[in-house]
Amino acid sequence: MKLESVFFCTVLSLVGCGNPVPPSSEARPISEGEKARTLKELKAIPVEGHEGLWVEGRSHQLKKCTECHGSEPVPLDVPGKQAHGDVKLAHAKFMECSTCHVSEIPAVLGFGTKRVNLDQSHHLCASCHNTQGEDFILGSHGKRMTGWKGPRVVKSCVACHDPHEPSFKALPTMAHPKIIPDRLKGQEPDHE
Amino acid sequence: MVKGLAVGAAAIGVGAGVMASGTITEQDQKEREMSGDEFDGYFKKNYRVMTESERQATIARFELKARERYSKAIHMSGSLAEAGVLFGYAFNLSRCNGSRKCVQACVEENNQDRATDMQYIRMIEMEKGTFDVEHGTADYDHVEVPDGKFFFGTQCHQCENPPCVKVCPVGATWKENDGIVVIDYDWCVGCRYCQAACPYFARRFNWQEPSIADEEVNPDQHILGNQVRSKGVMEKCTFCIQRSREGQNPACVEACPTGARIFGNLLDPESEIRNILANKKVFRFKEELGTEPKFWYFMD
Repeated sequence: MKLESVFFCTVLSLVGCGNPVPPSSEARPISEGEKARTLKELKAIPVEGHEGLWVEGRSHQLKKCTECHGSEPVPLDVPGKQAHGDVKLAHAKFMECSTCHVSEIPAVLGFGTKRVNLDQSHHLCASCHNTQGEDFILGSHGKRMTGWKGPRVVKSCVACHDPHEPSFKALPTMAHPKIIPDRLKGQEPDHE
Repeated sequence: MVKGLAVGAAAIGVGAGVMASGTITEQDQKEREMSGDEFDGYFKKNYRVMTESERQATIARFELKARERYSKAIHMSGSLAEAGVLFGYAFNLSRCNGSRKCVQACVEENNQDRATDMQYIRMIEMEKGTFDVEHGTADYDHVEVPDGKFFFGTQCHQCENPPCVKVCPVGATWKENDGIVVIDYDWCVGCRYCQAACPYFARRFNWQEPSIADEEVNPDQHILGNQVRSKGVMEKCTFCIQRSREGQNPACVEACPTGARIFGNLLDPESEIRNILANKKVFRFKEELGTEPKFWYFMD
């Protein structure tokens, strides 16, 4: 009898009756310095009209036009072979280069009277794909580049969708897990 | 005092071999230290009731053991839940294409046994028109997503009312203040009652000693998370506690190529997870069981 109660008390003292709640540390919000560093690293562009949302910069990932061309604007309606003429355009049957590249300067995109640069292309995409644009702002479309705590920097539309040929190629899947362990192979029951 | 006792007990065990040779080699010294540590380990308390110094000692002991076992410089963290944080997860059924990149990232991040192909995340290919997982297949191997199918991913849902915690006979599993359900791997006796209680196929059991190739070990470990476990203990998804408590996203969220997985702090009204809960038609798996999972599904 005595031994049992000693045992019981030992177990209780080790486990604790009533499951004590573990401690928490104080809240550690991200520092302004770290936030600024992250934004700089990703060349993040703030999204107009949406505080606290940044999109990954795009123009720094591309060659500047002036690296090959001079400072002259490049006309798009010159007949014959053009550089960048090898861009295959397969984005909705009615679209042409000038649907998005409305200006003499191809790096300036636009729709209607609005003009945007390559870092703000999400405005252009959202002008037709407005439900996806709303979801993009909300967070259910697209991919976040930073952790849950950092400033909210999302990938731009063109990081995943090639604007000239947006349809995705099939993604190879990783092999399925071993549902039946090797030692039991050949003994699976019949399922109807 | 206990340490002295431990060294004494270890010495008796090791001493016999040592006395025969007459000298104490470095290997013997190491073995003596290790068995002393193990002796301490047998008398450790449940992690929840340890004092801060006992926790630090336990973490140091695990770190030492891990460094002995693997060549990488293992770093064991004991980071606590942060005040004002409750983790939540959302899964976009319209985006998932069944690539299983999440599964792969999880296995690499969380040091799971490679020999038994242990995976915390289970992707189920489902026929459109039903959410009955009995009619899904987990062993699909398609390259192209076939018509009429969608993909349902499940892992630990970190329930607010977890059945696994309720049934554990020894109190080895509990819910932390930031909502993550964790396991004290030393306290677990391997009865698998939690595995029977979980309605989401979240819990995994180590039927054998886990084996991971030295170069594949993730050295950034958490004592309640991805430390390498041993034979006879349970393990499961912890929302990558070693990452999420450092402000990063879990490995599955990072790896998803289509952005189907969303993670964040439910207590932050401006977080993406809260935006989704407020604006999308979200539902939870097996809601009627009252487990209150912190894992929501939705379609766009």
